[in-house]
Amino acid sequence: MTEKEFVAEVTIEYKPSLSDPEGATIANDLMKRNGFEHVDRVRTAKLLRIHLKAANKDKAKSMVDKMCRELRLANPVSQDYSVSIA
Amino acid sequence: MKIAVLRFPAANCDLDALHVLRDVIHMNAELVWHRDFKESRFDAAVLPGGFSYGDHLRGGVISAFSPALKEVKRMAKDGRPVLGICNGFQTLTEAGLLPGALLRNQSLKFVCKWVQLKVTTIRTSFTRKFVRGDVFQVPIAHGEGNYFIPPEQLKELEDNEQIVFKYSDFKGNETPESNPNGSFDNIAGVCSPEGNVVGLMPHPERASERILNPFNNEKARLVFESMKEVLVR
Repeated sequence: MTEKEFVAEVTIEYKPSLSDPEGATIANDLMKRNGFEHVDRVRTAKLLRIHLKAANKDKAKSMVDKMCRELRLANPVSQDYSVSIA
Repeated sequence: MKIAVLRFPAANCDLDALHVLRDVIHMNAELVWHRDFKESRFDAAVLPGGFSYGDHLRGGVISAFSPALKEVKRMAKDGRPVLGICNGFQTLTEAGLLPGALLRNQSLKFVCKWVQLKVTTIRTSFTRKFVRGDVFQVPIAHGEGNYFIPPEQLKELEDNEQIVFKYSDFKGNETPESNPNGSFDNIAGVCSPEGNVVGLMPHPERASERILNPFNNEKARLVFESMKEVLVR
């Protein structure tokens, strides 16, 4: 079977119960102070855009999930991650 | 008796740690490149500070996957002393040898200053020569030292006496003002359940001689003297 190219995006962010001072500063001191007072809150995240080859989308997804867990792309104590594939 | 000081790419204070072990507490110590490290030759290991692999992704996470950490895990398992300082502490948490995680400092700033540390247990391989409640001065220099443990796990840490050092004032009060980075419950250092693996964000190797210490003491040296006592007993 020929392998196809996929692009996976892994979003890594602090768990909701943890404070995110960078996100709070962006919301309060940049957005709300400069005319975007409808902003409620901002959470920052790190994005990894991973180019990889796999037989199909499901296989690509499971490979990325495995990396997230086994290589601790997200720290299980303090962070959550989500994966999207195109 | 031989102590390994592990060198990862972009380590710093590795030579300081080596100096304290060799010239201050007079132990046989060797600087070892992480890829060459074999635990069978050593009785203890020190993972020094620095910014291994540029702190990319998170401080310590890439080092935690070095083959050296498999060796360190064997040492930890059979009770040999293992100390992680600053980046070494981050590496030990990412490798699962110590509980919790180190987040970015609450201030989002790199903090470099002297702090007061309180010793909260003397049962570990690196605190047995202190007196419980001792307060001593030691410098910190980190951007990701904000210790986090899920609140529901804090009691377990306390019950197991795994909290080793806390940030405090000169009298030992754990005040918000004495907490330099937002660490949960002022925690600066923790240990494994058995007490032979200890990690802390501050740098005792930079405070173990009077000439380096603006407070004119060398109490931080007891971290290393404690390990020496474990090794030579």
